[in-house]
Amino acid sequence: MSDLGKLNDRIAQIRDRALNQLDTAHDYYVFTIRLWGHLQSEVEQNQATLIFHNASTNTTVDQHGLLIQAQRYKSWELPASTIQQFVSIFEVFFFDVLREWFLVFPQEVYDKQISGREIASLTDKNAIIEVLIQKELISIAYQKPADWFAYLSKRTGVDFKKADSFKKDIAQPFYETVEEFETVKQAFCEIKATRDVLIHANGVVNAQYLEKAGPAARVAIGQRLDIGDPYHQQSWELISCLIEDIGNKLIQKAT
Amino acid sequence: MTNSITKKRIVVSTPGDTGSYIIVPLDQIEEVKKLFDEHGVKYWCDPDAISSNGRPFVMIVNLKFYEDPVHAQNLLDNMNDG
Repeated sequence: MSDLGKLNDRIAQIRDRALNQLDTAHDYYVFTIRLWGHLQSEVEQNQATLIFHNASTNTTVDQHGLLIQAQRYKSWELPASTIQQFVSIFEVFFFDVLREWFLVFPQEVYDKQISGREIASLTDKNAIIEVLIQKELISIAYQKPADWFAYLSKRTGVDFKKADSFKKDIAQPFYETVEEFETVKQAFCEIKATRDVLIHANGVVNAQYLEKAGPAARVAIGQRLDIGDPYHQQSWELISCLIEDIGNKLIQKAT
Repeated sequence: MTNSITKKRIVVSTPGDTGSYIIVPLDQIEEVKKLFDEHGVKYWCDPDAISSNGRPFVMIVNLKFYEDPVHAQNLLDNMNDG
């Protein structure tokens, strides 16, 4: 098989793995909510009783205590966790396909520099290219997500201005149109900014969020982000479509 | 509004300060959603209706964290049972 044929296969594998991981994360979200809902229904309507004990924290809760936790788990802890997963899955996908691309087109990273000491510690040219690629990817990872897509276009020659597989109805509650890739990109940057706020600021919007989210920012500084449905669902759909679209276009380009 | 299964008043549950929810029989869900939509009450529904041990299906309507549960309860209380 030619290098391009192998590249196509690898991109397809990375795309499909990412889409499967997104589905798994979504299943976890939906099924867990169903279980908590089941508990709420059993306790409220059928007077079910139970006691849970956590030996590590020595916390004991009965059914009433669990109802208090359940609503927080459903509306905050669970979507916060899965939104972080969605973004991580995208990031792994994005940098994995770039790595595969550079392995076939290493000239794209030839302007990176490594020291003589590093070269001396490497076994051959392939190992040197691996290090160059790694350095390149790390430098991109630290750039703004808004710049990632322009970078991808520049390095691969793929036109991402139009997101072909993006379905108009999916993101409509967020945006009036999704034809322009700029809009899709902004939506992704907002989700990434939301993820950062969940990790670093307990979900309360700060100046960094506004800067990263740009025109797609949803609330003002000091307000808590709403991450339940429909936002959670739309985030999953947007990232799924983005991964499918990028994967398909790269495959098309390499054919 | 009366729960069509239990024949009791449909109540907004507010356990602690972690958000409110309402358990609604499936045959009344559209009515409740319409009521909240008309009054701008923001909510989200669990992904599916639940039925256990052969009992009728119910669905959980979760109020957004910034919604006032008292307002939602008043809307439900003022709704005439069809």
